[in-house]
Amino acid sequence: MLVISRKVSESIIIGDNIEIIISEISGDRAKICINAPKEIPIVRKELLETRSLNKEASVAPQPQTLNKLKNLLK
Amino acid sequence: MDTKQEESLSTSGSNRNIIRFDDGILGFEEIKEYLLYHEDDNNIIWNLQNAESDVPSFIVVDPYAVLSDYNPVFTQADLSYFGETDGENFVLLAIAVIKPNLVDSVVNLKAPIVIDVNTGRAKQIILENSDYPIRQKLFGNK
Repeated sequence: MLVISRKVSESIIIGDNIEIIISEISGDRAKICINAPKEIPIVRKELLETRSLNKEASVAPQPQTLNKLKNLLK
Repeated sequence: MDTKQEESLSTSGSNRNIIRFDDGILGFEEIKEYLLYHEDDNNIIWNLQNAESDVPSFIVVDPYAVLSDYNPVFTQADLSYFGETDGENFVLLAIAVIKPNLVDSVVNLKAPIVIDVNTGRAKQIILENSDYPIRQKLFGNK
């Protein structure tokens, strides 16, 4: 993995047309601005991970598994 | 808070609740209406099922039963979905992946389902200001 250190208002360029600018750093939080063609989707990683967990969770478990769970949580 | 949670859901009509997600649930954006059933007597385990079909069918759990000091922080923007409402009416549930080997089961504490029990409207909110795992082991702290 490439690791680059940047200050506020500095940026990095990815490919020909994506720019990521560090806009503000406050505490443990960085505010970043992204300039990219609108056909490139940009999402927070948690969103993709939550979507993929939801897909995994969308099939009900076997009744015997669920019964085991209920007994455990009694 | 979990006790209060149980009461507010239980009093809203036998053990079955109709819940409406205006934006759907991530990955299932097109499905808006769900039924919420008790699965156990302790109100820890619930089933959240598409109101019009057998799928998707989620097991959702009381997050406070998983992590007793669970304390998610919501932003104004997160809660604007619910409009003018009293925060007292919110119930939180967390989507779980239940594995045949139960110790492998996980629960998403980073993106709880928030339900306004007065209106039955709900939304899955990804927390911005609280660091909770997306895959918290259901039995991780036992």
